[in-house]
Amino acid sequence: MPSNIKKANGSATGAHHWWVQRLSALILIPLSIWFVAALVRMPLSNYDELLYWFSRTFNAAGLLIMVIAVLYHAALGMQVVYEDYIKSEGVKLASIFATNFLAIFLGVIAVLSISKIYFLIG
Amino acid sequence: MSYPRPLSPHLQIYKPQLTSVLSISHRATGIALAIGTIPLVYWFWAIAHGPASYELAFEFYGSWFGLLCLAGWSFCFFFHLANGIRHLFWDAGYGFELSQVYFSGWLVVAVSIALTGISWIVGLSCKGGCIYAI
Repeated sequence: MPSNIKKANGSATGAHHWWVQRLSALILIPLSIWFVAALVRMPLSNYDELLYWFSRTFNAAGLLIMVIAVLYHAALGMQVVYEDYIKSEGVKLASIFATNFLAIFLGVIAVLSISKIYFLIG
Repeated sequence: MSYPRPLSPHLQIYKPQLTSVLSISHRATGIALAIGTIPLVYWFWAIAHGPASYELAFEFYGSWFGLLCLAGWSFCFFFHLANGIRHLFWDAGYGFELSQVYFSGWLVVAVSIALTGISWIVGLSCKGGCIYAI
């Protein structure tokens, strides 16, 4: 990549960003459809039956991959929005940093929670 | 004598087309879904934290405000999914003819409305749960 393009691009990793955005999208097509299709049929008012669904290995695995892919995809998408609309370089970088931090925080909470249910019940 | 300089079409007199509306909607629904990851992870946390926490989360999602949010997010999800697939076809180099762009655009609108409706019909009729523990 020519150095002048690197300087013009805030993250300097435009091509990689583009690919990961689409790879995460491809992963999310089957996983998000599976999750929403399961969610609308879940015994949401019955806590014990809900725990049982979460304790199945394939459900827990699907949820873990989905939640990581969705947070990655969301953080990359928000970065593009910031880069397009925020003029100040400082505010832009701070927004990207805060979003990535929030995504990592949410990801850790989700992985711990899904794993906790799995190891507790499964 | 000075004449006002000609200006390019501005937002107030800009006639929206399907293409531009779907493009900005892809962004808007993406932002809404990104915010929606917070209540999603809260839901996982509540289930892991025990029945009392889950009860609180269940009450929140079952309130009129919670259901309104879920209704909005469900449409955003199906729209972003359908239009995202449309974008992936473009990335692969397909569907650039103007007639194809409009056909896929209206298809996205129809599919996302239909799937939102179907998911709520299934969801509300499955209130007690259609996936049973065996």
